[in-house]
Amino acid sequence: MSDVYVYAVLGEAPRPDVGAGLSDEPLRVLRSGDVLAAVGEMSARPAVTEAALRAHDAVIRRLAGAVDAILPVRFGSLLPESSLADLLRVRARELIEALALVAGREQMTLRVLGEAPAERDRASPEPDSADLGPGARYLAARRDEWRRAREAPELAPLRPMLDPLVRAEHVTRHDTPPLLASVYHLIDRGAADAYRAVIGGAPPGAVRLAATGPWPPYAFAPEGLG
Amino acid sequence: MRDRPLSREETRAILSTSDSSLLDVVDNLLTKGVVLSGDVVLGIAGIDLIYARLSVLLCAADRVLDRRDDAAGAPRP
Repeated sequence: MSDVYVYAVLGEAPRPDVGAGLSDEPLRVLRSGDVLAAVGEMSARPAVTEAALRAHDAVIRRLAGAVDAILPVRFGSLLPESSLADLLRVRARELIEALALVAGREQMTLRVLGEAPAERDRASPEPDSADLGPGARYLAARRDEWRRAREAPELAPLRPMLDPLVRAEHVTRHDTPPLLASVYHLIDRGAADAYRAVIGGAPPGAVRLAATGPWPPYAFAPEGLG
Repeated sequence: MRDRPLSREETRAILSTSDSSLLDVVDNLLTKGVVLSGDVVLGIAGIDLIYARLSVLLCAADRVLDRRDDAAGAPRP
């Protein structure tokens, strides 16, 4: 059986007019239970080139416009068709939950730019950690570190306006000034203008915010291997 | 489309662009999305350079936008 290049996991079959894949190969849908995958036949993984990346993104955008729920697959995913069917079956529950989250939604990407990491990143450990033993203190510190890596305190002033628009959030902290964090927001389709208005209305301060999108929900696809 | 991986210089050229949409495409396609194949990251040439440069190029894009804003007299967001 030949290898297939996987573009996306879908909750429904797309319209037949979504065009071809990044190498101009015909797109087809592989079904495994309630989960579908949009694939194209390919003999070798495409090289990482600007053209290939943009072509892959264009395919994802066309598919996103043709279905209600889409989970983009990472660039370069070429595998035997039988292996893909097995993975879709094994990971069906996880993928169906993720499809339900992104249905009717899209992603905005927010870059948080400033001169220094947020003050709370340099805060001392929580007071109750003083009573803990060395092992528990280590674990508490790791927990705090994990939590800080997924928070964007710089957005606190905007939360009252953002929260009604944001359905889910992923944060990646960089803390390499001036790039402090990347924040990925899942919003309802059609809400991008309202989202940009909130970001554009942010008061001048120590950080700058740069929003791009809407994008297909790349950052809300489950990453782990089955 | 090229039929070979990018050289280090070519990758650097792409990552030096001020085209923020390309930066987002790189971020989305190479660091996000469902992972179905264990060797997908290892199979991508120059991935370490891409990660290393992503932060730098995003900041470079921001500085370019800064200068454009200043030149146009536009208020800072």
